[in-house]
Amino acid sequence: MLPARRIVPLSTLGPGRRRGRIARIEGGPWVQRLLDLGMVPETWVEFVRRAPLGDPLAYRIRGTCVALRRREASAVFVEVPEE
Amino acid sequence: MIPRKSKPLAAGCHRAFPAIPGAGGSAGPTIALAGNPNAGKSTLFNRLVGGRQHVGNWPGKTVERAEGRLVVENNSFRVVDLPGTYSLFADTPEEVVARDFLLGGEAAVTVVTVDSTNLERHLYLARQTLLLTGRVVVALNKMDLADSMGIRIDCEDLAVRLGVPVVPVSAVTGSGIPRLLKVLGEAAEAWGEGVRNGRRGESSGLPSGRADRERMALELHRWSRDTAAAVSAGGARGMRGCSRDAGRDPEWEPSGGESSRTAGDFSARLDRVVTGRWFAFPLMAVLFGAVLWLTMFGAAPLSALLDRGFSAAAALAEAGLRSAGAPGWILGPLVDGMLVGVGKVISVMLPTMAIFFVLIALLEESGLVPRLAFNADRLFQAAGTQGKHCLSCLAGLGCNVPGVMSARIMKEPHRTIAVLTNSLVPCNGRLGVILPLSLVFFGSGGVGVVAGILLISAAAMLLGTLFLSRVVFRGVQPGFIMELPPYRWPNFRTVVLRTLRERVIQVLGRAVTVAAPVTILIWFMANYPAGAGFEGTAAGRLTAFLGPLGTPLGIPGHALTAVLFSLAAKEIVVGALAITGGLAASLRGSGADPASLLAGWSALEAFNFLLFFTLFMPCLLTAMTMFRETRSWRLTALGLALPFGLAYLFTLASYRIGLVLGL
Ligand SMILES: Nc1nc2c(ncn2[C@@H]2O[C@H](COP(=O)(O)OP(=O)(O)O)[C@@H](O)[C@H]2O)c(=O)[nH]1
Ligand SMILES: [Mg+2]
Repeated sequence: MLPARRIVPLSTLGPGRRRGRIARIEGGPWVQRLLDLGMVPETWVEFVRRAPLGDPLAYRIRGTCVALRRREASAVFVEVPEE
Repeated sequence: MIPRKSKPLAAGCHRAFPAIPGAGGSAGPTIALAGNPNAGKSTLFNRLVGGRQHVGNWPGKTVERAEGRLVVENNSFRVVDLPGTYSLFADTPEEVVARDFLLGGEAAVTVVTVDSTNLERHLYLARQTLLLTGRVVVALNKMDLADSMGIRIDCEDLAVRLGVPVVPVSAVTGSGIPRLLKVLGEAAEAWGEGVRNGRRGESSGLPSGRADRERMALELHRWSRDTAAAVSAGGARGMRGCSRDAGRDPEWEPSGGESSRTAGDFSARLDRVVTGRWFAFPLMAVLFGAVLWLTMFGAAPLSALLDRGFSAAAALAEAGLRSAGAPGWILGPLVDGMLVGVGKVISVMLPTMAIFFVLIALLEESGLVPRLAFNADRLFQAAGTQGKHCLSCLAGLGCNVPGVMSARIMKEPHRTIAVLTNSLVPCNGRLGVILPLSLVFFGSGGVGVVAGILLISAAAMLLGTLFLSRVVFRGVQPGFIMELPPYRWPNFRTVVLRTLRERVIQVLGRAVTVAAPVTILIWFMANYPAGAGFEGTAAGRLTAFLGPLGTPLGIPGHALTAVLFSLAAKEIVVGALAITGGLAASLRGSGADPASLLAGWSALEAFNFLLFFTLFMPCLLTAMTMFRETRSWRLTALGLALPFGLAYLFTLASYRIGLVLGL
């Protein structure tokens, strides 16, 4: 039995809830860059850390650690289990 | 022949790229090297071509192009190093260059360098490359590392799945390279015929619409994941910093908490400090300080040694020319002008550049540098650019020429903003002047004075950035997306060799070609028209003219003339000050006593002079580099006017405040 899930922006992952599975990416000039880095639907992402001033955010995806700003991370939507 | 900035992806481009002269234009079939950043492409390129290489730019682009020659058993190949990219779909200058080259069908063989320790990610580019050209050989690199991590890869299976040869190699140890050469030779022979017969670009091309591209990206990523999973086994995941795979065996666990932590992971633990809230900025300050300190104090004895060597050479040359009966107007400019001036530039620049850029390259190799950008991004975002701007500032601390060039790591308009503001970062040439002068004048307070000037420079740089991003380059701001590679121990030998070759020698050569003519000009200005003493010479008249301009800034006219002369190379300002102050007739007489240079100045005058000199304007070489990077006189003029305006404002303010405080 799969637990219930919901879809939240990637930027809401954090030390509490670290992992999510990408559902979709919303438009913007950065979409292709994100896709090329492996941010494609069905891929798992994991929150790694925040920069000392709160932005950018680092995520682990497909074997590498990628930093992006909150703005871009807000355009990526991930599926997470319902609490 | 300047390629358009970007072109439709599907356009079958059949333009031949001109060979770089001197790299053996007609050196047989072409082998192109493609690969993700960090795949080890440069290491492989160097292993293949050794010293027979030439570094330049792609025509009409500020993307570096390296080309070399490879000889295998009487067969000669031209090897072209394509820019490292994650993809070939996007429209960054690097990707357009790589894509156009592959679509042009010029390469008989394209070697895709693949990092065997991160197969899934790297196979994505290999697969994309196969869409552009079928003539591909995959070099499965870093096998030594994969072995030590316990990763096993079934190369034959991978070759079948890709439909092209796969050769396991280690670019660092050299294992597998003979085999790669053999496969390359065979492939070039089999495929090269087709190229010569005009059977070019048999690729299927790439989709052009955004939706199609996205669909294809998804498909290719799926393929890469499945393929990587099928052909590789083993490997202690979580061994390398951020390299743990979050994609395999997804578990829908409530919080993803403990199991996803990488406890005991070296990079992750180091990152907790390096990018941590409390340590990040103090650590960065210590790092910058340490690099500067090591550079200045490490270079000082070497500089002194070189300086003595050049003085001896000048004396020897003078004696020789004199005994040959050379007149003063030849002797002066040659010996007192050029030899001494250029000697000064070399003896100051060579050791500092060498030490500084080796240190920076070591930081780069270790993986620390991307963390600096990560930490600083928020700060630079407030000024209107992004974290990587911090890295070009760091390079600028060594020399503004590489500083300006390193802005290439950013997208427009951030790149141009970084180009135009880089000269506000005081380079080693200036630091090497203001530190000893302020130590002489202010005594033990000198270090504080220099620190103050550094802080003001940083403020001026951020202010200039803010001005450019808010007023000149408004519009869409590109974001910040950057990979944070795992930390690793740098390979000292390759770092030193590469830095010396790519940075130091190049910049030094150009510095000398600019400094030599200008120091000759300065000699003439300081000595002609002769007869009426210094006041009568061109330099003397310039000083009289500049005097009133310096008054509101609290800077004596002769010091302004010296600052103007230092546009040739900032290092010569001390010598120039000796000339314009009437203490010496040539740059040579200057090395003697810095204390006498500022004798009789007030503290405020000395400080304002140092401040104005630091901010004033980029040296000629930096200005030329700015032009090369922007290809625009307007922007170059802006790059000169902006620091000048800021220097004027800050010095004016400092003088006013100083007067109010009664200094
Ligand atoms: N262990 C190991 N490291 C390698 C190998 N090839 C390259 N590297 C390292 O990988 C890093 C990136 O190499 P580089 O050639 O600069 O990659 P590029 O970005 O593709 O040009 C450097 O630290 C190299 O020392 C290899 O075969 N084995
Ligand atoms: Mg490289």
